[in-house]
Amino acid sequence: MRSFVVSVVSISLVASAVFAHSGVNNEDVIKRMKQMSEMASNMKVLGAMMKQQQPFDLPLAKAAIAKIGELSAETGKSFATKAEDPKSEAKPIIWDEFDEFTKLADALTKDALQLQSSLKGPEDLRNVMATLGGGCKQCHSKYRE
Amino acid sequence: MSRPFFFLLGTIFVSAAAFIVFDKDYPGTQLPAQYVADVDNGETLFYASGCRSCHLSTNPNSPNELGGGEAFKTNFGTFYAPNISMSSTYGIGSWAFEDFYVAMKLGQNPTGSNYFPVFPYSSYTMMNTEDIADLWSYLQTLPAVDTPSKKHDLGFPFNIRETITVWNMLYADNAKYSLMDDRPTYLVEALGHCAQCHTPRNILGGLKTDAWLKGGKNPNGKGKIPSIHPSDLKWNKEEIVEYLSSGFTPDYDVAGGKMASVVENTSRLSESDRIYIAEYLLRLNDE
Repeated sequence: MRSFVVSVVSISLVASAVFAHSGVNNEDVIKRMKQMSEMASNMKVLGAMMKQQQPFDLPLAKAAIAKIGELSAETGKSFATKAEDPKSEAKPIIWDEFDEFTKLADALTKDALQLQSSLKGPEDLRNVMATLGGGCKQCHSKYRE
Repeated sequence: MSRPFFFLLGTIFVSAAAFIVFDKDYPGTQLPAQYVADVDNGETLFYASGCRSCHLSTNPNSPNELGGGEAFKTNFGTFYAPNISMSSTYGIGSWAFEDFYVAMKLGQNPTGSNYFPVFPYSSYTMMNTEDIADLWSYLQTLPAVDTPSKKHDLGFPFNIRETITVWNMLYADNAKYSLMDDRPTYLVEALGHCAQCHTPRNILGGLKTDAWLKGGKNPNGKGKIPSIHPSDLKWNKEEIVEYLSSGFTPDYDVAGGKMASVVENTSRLSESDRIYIAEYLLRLNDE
């Protein structure tokens, strides 16, 4: 069952990435966009469990949180090049404030690690979503169009 | 659009404004003499009308410092959000309620000079008088910020405030003094002023009302402001309410840019108000 869920998530992830990134030419921008889509897909797994649209699965939830942390940790690297594309929503201020930008990503990684280890049951998911979503928002509000 | 074209357009506006005698009379605030402002409602209105989304200090020391300073780059030049904190020197701390009322209803400062429509008075003009009084009372609880407002950087002839008289007659006059009894409409059109970003504009900067909330060019950045018309958005009521509450889209993307600030505001509204906003958007399908 779990492999089925993982497969569905993977297919959705690829499909949504293809849809969202159509028309983007810059390879670095495409990689960044895929990274963000993958984070959203893992958030979706957690959100579906929180809303009881899918049964709570502790290992799967922990894996999703870990993946978000892992992807967030890669943010500094994936944004290191100031790559631009008309369809990119990344604001140029990222590269003016790169230290601050990566600090926010690192904070999300740290939160994810902590949440992954403290997650015990479905009752914890609301806090997980609020914390991780808050981390996303902090960055998006300043550095995304 | 070319610079000469805008220059010509502005010149026409200046010429027209010179011949128009604008009736600055208004029927007073019409606030009942014994009215006691409701500060709690003022706080709700503060978040519903999104004052902080534009006027928040660029480096605030506390959550609701309205020292302004944010730049808005447009085709007409760069506007800077002014200080609307209670600083008597740099903000609006020396205003009387009537001054605030005229700003919100008529888009004019206490000397009678026009504000530029980047300040969405063409939406706020639909606010109820009591609500304006409640909002005014809440603003007075916020900290004074002693930072001077930046001067707008607009080229001639767009820096001439008299031209806005013509604009107001075209795009902001009809709704004056109208009161809105329908809470969903009131939240979206008067307070939330969603159309100011989500409805495309014509070359004069007026809203294309036949494409209501169908998205348009981002006036302050690249790309487009998305359509939130249900024929394009395709979100159900629960999904819209969730977005306004947490910032999560149905695909768990998270609001960015100016919309992140809007969601910060809507997350502080009551669930019933978020439902009203969703209902307003969904019923556009029936119109």
